[in-house]
Amino acid sequence: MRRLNLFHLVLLTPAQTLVTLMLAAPAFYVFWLSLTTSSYGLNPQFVGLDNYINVLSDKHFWTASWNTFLIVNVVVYIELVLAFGMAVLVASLKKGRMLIFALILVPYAISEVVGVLAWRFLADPNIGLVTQAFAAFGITFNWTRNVADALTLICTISIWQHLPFTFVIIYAAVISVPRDLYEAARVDGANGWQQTWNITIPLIVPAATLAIVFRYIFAFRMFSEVWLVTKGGPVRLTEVLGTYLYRTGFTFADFGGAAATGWLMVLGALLLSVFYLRSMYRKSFSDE
Amino acid sequence: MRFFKTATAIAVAMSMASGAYAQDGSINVLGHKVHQTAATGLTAGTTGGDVTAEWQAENGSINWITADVNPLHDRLFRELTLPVGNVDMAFFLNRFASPRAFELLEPLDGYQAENPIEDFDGLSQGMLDGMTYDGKVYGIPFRHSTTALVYNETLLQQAGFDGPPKSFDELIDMAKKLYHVDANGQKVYGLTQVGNSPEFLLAMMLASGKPFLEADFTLNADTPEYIATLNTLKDLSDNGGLVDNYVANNLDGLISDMQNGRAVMSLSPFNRESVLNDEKLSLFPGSFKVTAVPPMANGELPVQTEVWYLVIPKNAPNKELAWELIRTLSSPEATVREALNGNGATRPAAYEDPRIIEKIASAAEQARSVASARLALPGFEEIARAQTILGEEADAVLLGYQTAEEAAAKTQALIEPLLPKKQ
Repeated sequence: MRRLNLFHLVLLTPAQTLVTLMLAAPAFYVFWLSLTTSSYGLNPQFVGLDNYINVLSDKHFWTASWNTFLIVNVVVYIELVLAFGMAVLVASLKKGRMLIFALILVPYAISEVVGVLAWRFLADPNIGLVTQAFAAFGITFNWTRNVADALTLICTISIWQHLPFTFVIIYAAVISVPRDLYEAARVDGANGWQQTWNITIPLIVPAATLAIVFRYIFAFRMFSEVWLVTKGGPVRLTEVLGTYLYRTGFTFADFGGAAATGWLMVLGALLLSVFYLRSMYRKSFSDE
Repeated sequence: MRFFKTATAIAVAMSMASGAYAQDGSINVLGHKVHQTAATGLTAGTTGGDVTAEWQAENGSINWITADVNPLHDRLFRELTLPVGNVDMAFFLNRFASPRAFELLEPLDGYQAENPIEDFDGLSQGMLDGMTYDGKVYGIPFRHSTTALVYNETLLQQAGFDGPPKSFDELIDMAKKLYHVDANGQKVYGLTQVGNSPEFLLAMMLASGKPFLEADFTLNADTPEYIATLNTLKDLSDNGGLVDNYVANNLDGLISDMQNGRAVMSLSPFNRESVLNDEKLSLFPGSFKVTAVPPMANGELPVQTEVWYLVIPKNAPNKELAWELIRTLSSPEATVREALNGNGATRPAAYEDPRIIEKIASAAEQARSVASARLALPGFEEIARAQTILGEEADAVLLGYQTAEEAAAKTQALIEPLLPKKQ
């Protein structure tokens, strides 16, 4: 491996400066803010770890953390299964593949706010089409009063909205599996299920890992699906960390508490995805 | 290269345009859409016209920045903390007033002494007091939002009632009796209210004879009155007296409930009548009537109000122009015209104006209500956190997670430390 010389460093400087200014500096500023009491019209005052202690001793923070953990895992893995099934199906189509592909991408093309509000109307407890359809089967669905219904709705919206992202990654991996592997398997007498289990799945694992890591990080920051539908209710039982942070920062004007929540979210997201990141890192550098 | 030249040219043109924008007398006004419609007469069918037209002809255009109540104040507070702000004048709701907020706003006494508002003494003194701090006036009252009883006369008559309730107790009973499933299979509730803010809860508490939080910050949460209020709320909710999505209902939901006949009554501001009777949107145009909130057993009206003020940020770039606009918007004539555009008049004399008596059927009821109204909550620093706790504990009762007694005790314990220390 060649060593970096001055010329290389000069070329790297703009990108490094950009990363420092846009990511590292704000992150350090937020960390400093998390060690202060700060609000509108109030000069920040150093309070040490008080904000972290306050946040960690707030029951709503733990409700939000549990909900985030639950929702993230539900949406990421359901999306993965659905994306895989759809990718295999679309890849096997002889005709209309592009049309189906475009239809699957539609939710990603719709404005997030518009999509979420449309779902809110569809699931309106009195006049929503979804609610009425459930009612026809004798199922009561009222997310305004029932926490399980509210969390189900939030997961459904998130899956609907982000499935195209996972699908595109998995689909690209599925169609890149060499055809001759399947031919060889068929010659050896493998059926469709055996081909999928022994060829497709092992070969798309790196792509799936990538999709999982990205979706973990995106889903961990979930906000609009909750804020625009339940606002964290009823009784703040559907709060997630994104809405907890927003409420602390912009409703309660407690910037120190919000900054501390932000850093705890970073640590939480790292903790959740560390297994996959480690796996990706090992694979990336396995040749060395 | 051509791209960079074009981009540079656009940037220079934009910076010149923004420089010109700052110099031609235009000002930035931050408010709610209702303030814009009241000031400019945008709502179809209103007769007050554009109150700002003359000001604009003399000074320049008004750049309206509008948002809902909470986002509006989020934005305003963020603007207030900048070294130089972008907002010249703002609309400010009484519940956000606090010593820290006053420090970020311009005291208006100097402007009033130098270039006074016409008939300043004609403004409601009680409302002026709400934005007076340390002897200085920080806001001029522009709009009151006083609670009334809005009801659908057609649905009320269909249910066999010949008029609105005559007492608050009767209102609660009637709300439950009005619940039914109509011929289309739609549930019709007695009342619809906004659940994501505590106005209805506070109104119910006031009707029980005691305000939730008094002006001297005495908190009445752990009291028999508040426990009774929570039990009444649950009773209403359990028996169809209140829409079943109350805890998540917002203003759009409330209006939709009323316009589509899903609810018969609502404790709402007086001026909501016009939007409910809108021919294009309502299934019951002309059926919505408004009257004062029915009295308590002692004959007093349990009416609460909120007041919007015109304020100038301390860091506003065009303070003199902003004051000129405040003068324009708060003159006696402007107050009448804004009321004709659907605004709650902050000058008591406006309700005696022949134009208002002719056009606004509820003018007398409104004047009577304003006279006995009290602020829903006094302002303090931690009010947002207190309101969240209040709503959360009450919702937990409604959904059966805890008893009214438990909620009252928890509400008292959690909100008390957030209140300003009594002098």
